[in-house]
Amino acid sequence: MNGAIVSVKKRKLYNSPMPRIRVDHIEPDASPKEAAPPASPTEASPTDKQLRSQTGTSFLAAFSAFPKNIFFAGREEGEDILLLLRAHPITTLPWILVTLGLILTPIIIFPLFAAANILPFVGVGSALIFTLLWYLATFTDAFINFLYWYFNVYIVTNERVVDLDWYSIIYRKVSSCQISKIQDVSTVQAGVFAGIFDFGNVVIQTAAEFPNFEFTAVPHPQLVAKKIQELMQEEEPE
Amino acid sequence: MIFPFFQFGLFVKLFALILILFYFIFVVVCYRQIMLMNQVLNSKIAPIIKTLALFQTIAVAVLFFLAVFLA
Repeated sequence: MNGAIVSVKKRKLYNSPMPRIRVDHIEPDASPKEAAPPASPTEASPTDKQLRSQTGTSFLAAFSAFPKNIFFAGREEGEDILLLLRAHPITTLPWILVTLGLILTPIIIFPLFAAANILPFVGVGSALIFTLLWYLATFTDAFINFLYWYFNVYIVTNERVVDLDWYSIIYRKVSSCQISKIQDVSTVQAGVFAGIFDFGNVVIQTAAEFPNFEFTAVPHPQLVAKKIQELMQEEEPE
Repeated sequence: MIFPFFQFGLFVKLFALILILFYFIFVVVCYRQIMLMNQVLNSKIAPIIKTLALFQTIAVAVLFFLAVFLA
């Protein structure tokens, strides 16, 4: 009423000068209120749902969204891994076929050598040693090729992108770049197999020391690029 | 001039031993690099990879000793 003078018509009720005041007693709500779901900005976008639908469940997956129990050197506290990528498994087909050929060769060739009496001076001991050496070398070749595929990973976190490259036994490179320094993201998908199996390259242009990052033959490159672009938008100052 | 004590089988055995020795050095280097890479990228499969690398190293060492006595 802001101090305005209001004439009040007085009425005597029940011979009492005091106005009747009705007070409604409201019981406090005893039911526990449901806690609001914690805000999770990294899992809120439709892109994250798409990433989750495409993620592989195996620990050998080439496309893994929000992976658990993965640690990489240099990971900071509070840094969440959003994507762990490797080359598409179809790219491992050549060395797998070579390995199968190497496994079958002694089974086919050695009996032919024995039947044709080629290298008659080779004794049983030497033949056994040579066969063991052959299969051990085959195992080593397959193991090294698997490790090259397994340890060449591309990691996208909520703060940066990391490229772990293992070029050879004694040559490896680890590169990383903050999301805020990424200038452009593009994808390249070329070839029949790339179209059928949906894999390609994701090229990231940065303002960092290494001007370009290239995720080679990763599954779902458009989805990866979309997620990185979302992260770039989140990092942009308003 | 051909030495009278020259034997082709002995030459082959010596060649195989040298080859296996270099192979052993290679797998030892591989084992070391695998340990380093597991420190860079660690996951659930790391113990399996370490075991396979160790198995490979031991297998080549055993092969070398077999080559010395059997070949």
